[in-house]
Amino acid sequence: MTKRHPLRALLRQDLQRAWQHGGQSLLPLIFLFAVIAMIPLGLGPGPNLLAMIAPGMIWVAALLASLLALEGVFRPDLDDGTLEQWWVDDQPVLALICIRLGSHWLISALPIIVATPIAGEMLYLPAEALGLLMLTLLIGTPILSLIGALAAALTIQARQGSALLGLLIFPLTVPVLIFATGAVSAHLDGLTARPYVLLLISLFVLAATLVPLAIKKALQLNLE
Amino acid sequence: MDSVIHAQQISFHRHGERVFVPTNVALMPGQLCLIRGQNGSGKTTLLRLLAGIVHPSEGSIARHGSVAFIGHRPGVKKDLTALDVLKFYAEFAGADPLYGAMSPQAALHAAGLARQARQRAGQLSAGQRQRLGLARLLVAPKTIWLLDEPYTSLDADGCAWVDGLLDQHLALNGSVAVAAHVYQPKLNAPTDVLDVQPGAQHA
Repeated sequence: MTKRHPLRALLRQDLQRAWQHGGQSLLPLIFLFAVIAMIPLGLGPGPNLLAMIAPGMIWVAALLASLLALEGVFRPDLDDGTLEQWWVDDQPVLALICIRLGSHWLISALPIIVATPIAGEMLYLPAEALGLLMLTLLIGTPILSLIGALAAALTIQARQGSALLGLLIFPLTVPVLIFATGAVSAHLDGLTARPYVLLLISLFVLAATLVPLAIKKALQLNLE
Repeated sequence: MDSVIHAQQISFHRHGERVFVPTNVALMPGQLCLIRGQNGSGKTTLLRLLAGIVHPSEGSIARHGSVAFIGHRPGVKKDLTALDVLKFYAEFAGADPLYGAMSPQAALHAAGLARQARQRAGQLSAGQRQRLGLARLLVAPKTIWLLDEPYTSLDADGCAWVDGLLDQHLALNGSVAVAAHVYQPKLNAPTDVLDVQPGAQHA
């Protein structure tokens, strides 16, 4: 007799599949470094200028990487019939959704956070800002995963879903981007980054409490 | 004995119209219920209601026992190997302690897919994928089986294999509801037929 461990099973499967699609999983990193290698070519390699735009550049790369991975959050599962299995036999749907969000974040955001020290070095980011930038990424990228997954759940049946996804998501991510980069520039200007970080945290708490419920409802509507 | 699924006057509304005429379902232990109806009459919707994937717009459903549902999309990830698909379901759905679970390898063997264990599900034929989807009834057995067109794309051997699975499960006092419109299961167990009538049409 095997006991069921749906959450563990789903997490293992998600990571296993990401590992198998090696190239696709490296996409966020390739993205990050493509952006970072191109910017100095376009703007000129002046250290002051690069240092100023570094946090914003790294954040934009994180945003795009998150968006790129969204197509795969729920739609393949709807198409192959595995999504409806989440609703059969009293499975913990909400927890399964959170696991899926977690694996989206692990695949799309974590590599970027880990690579941020190197990227920062390439853009002359002052060393004292690095820790703060990574902190904002750590708090902010889960918000991107949450908002993005909600949009993906809502547009799961729509044709041209990815174009719609981008349109839906970008306005909603603006506050995250503003508070995150605001924190880093305030710090570099000698001001306190505290209010920005606290605002980011409150955004995260708000999204983390409401969004999974909304995703569950959206997916359920699309299963009908 | 009490029924494992008891549904009273259930129906589902889509775009404000009933998909099928309100229906009673009483599925008993050891009983097979064959759900018949034309294309589009609501067989799939009825099974999804019984499985709990969608909620009835009217009527009520009571379930007593663990449920396995296999839809017309067999729930097989094409980029996983056949073996990994079954390993996933063994862990994800788990086995009802009332029934003996097979190991994923044994289930693949039973489904006639022993040689395809390391192949990706995407490379299997439609019939082999269907067998793989059904094989999860062996690694993660449940009391109530809800099967939507399980005979789709199966050859004669495959159909006989499914009939054997059903007979075995019914003999263990399991219950099965099957939607099938072409192939009729050839079973020893008592079969109850439920005809689904499409809902009221607009003139």
